[in-house]
Amino acid sequence: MIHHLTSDEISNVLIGYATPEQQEHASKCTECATSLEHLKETFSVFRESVHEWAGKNQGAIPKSIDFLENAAGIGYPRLRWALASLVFIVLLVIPVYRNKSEEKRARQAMEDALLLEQINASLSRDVPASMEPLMNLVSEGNRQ
Amino acid sequence: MDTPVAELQDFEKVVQMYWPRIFRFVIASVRDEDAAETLTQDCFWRAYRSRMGFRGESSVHTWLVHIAVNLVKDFSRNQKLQFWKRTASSSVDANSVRDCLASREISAEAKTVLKEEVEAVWSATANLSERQRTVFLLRFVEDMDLAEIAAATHISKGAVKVHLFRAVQSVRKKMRSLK
Repeated sequence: MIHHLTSDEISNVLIGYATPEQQEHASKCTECATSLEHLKETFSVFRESVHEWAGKNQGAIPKSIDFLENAAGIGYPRLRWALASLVFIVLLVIPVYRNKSEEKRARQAMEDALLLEQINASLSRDVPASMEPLMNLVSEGNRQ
Repeated sequence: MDTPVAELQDFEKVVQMYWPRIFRFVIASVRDEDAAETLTQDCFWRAYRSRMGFRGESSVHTWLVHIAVNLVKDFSRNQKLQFWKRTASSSVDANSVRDCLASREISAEAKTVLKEEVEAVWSATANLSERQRTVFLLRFVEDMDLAEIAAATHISKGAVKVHLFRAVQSVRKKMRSLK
């Protein structure tokens, strides 16, 4: 009984990693040789098709290396300009932000001081605010 | 014949000689004409900038392919889903397959079968992992041997063999599904 090459063995022959026995079988057995030839033919047409397709899609090959410097000049200065603009914007925004927060802090301090003054005034009263008119009458009566 | 380092002295000649091959590998990997053009340009620009550091341990072609492989890898990672959606829907130009088959002396029926199989190979490569696709294209489109692929991808020869074997098995499975 003839043992033909398995699928794995055919793949190994195709990629060139078969044992000498498998290679020998592939060259002698018509059935296995036909399978292999068919695969090789398919891969060969695949290669030619990709070559043809790539050739159709390929643009002109650059004539000089200037294009490399120009191509690099497209990307890198743009990036540099973008970074420079970003730094400029940040430098512009930081003082504005700092001024605003300082203003806010000063306003808050003023409000705090005012509140403290009101509290102090309230604490330094002799009588509650509701009794102040009565105290005024008493002091006027004393004067008279 | 020039050594690889000497070959780089005339960089314009290097561009003329290797541009089509690098572009072909890139477009077969990313399947987007504009992206392939940009990545190829980027590949040569990087090579030009780092040419002084090239010590000639591999051929100029292998070195350029290595740069291209990394660019394709970065591009694929950045594109993620939309890349694969586009890849799955795109296909090798049917006219290119037909033109290649025209010169072959086989029956019309055999041509039809072959055309379908080639399209299945193309479609199957889109579903391979990024590593499997890279080694598959380098082996079966660029005709590089395993040692060159190992040098270009910076993976061991053993790992190249494993990736290639799995890629071939996946492609054959897709071809068998046509029957």
